[in-house]
Amino acid sequence: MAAFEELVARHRDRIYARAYSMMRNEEEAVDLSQEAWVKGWQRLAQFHGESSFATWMTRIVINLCLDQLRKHKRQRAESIEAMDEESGGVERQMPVITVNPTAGLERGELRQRIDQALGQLSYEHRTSLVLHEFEEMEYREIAKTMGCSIGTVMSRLFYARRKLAALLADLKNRNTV
Amino acid sequence: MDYKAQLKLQALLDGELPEGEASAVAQWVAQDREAAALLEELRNTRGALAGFDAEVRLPESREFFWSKVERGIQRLETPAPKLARVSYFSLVRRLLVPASAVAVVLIAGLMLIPPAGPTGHTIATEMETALADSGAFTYRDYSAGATLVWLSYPAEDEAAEIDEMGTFD
Amino acid sequence: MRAKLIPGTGLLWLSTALALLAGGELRAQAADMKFQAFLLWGTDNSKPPEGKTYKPIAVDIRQKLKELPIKWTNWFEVNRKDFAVTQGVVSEVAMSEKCQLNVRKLGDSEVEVTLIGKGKEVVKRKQSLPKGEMLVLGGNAPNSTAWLVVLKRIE
Repeated sequence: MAAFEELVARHRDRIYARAYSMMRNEEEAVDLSQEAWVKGWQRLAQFHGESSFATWMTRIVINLCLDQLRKHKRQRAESIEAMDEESGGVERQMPVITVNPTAGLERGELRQRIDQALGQLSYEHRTSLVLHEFEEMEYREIAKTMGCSIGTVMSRLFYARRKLAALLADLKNRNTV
Repeated sequence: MDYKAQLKLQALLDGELPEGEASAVAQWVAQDREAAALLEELRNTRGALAGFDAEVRLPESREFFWSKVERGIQRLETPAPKLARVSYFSLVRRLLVPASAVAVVLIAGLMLIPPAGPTGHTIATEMETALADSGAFTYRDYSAGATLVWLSYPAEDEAAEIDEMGTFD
Repeated sequence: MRAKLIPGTGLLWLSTALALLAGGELRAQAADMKFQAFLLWGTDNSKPPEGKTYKPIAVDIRQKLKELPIKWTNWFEVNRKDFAVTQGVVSEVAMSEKCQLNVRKLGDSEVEVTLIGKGKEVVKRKQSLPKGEMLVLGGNAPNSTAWLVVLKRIE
């Protein structure tokens, strides 16, 4: 158990960061991280070293987060905007952001803006982005994790990126004025 | 630019296009300003996200977080003890059925034992007087060696009174 | 022939044994009982409220609380007092400004515990509390949290 505690100490921030990026709620992220570690202990015998331990644990927390997000979705009423996001279309007509909205920003300020912008994405779009950008998963793997087609992954990723660019640009404009 | 073309630009950026197709799209981007601009936007967004959560820290101390994980693991590995709520009614019923004669003798014998000590108690007594609370319940876990007395006082909707009571001040 | 009753030496031994037993009981009754009392706050949040410096609770207390049918995920120590109870004297222990625990020793293992809130008796309980065991008094608090007063006998 002491060895496992050492693993927890070493990787706890990463696992929490993944949970937080998906859940956008500190308490839920802590709870799901905790649950992930307990599951990790339970399944330790199944870890055969095909990936790093951190990657393996991250997959566990990602799946827990996805389960939780699906529960939230069932409980939430669908908004018109959310339905529009799902069916796609908005991002195709958005004007291209030609100026890099993050240029000239301090690291902390950039983090804050990205944090704010990520919070405005729906869970499907945010998750696609998180899995691709932070977990460096390929489209195929994201599709398998999220239980959707590769085409859907590509659409969601595209929408998320374009929406994020627009949100960051909007934040920059608001702060500049 | 149609949607399919836009998605191809993204796939190019993400290294998801087969080699032949990637070359063709790259050539098209070199000649199409709109495509180049969109690719640049996608690239900027990716750059902005790079290393974003590397500085995120779990907002609990190592010991505290571990204690919760450990407890979760122990719950998995230790089956929950049978929770035996003390019910005086069932206790009395058990004594009376089926060996009621023995029970009567036992009780009578206990009554005959002279009290010892200044307080007169030889048998552990449990008696509870709820003075401000008639909704209290008692739970005894013999294996854990703990007795819980749960009071309905103060009630949840008496939040203001709690604050005044300053229970946690 | 006169029947021999209890021989003299036998009587002496018996008396000595009884005296020792009686003396032992008296000594046990005279010895102080030692306790730890904790005022705890229970919540499903991972942290105490802003500005409060509550501590995580001791492992042994946490272990025992998890065996009890109380639902909160996390417990924080608001206050802690160590005290002794002498036969015939009521120990009054202030757990907070308006929350007091009175403990009276009734016998070897028996105690009478009174919880006082805002100057009024909330509950009075008599029970056996052997060394190592706990009495937990609790109730709901605002925002789906809970308060507990834990009395643990350590000696």
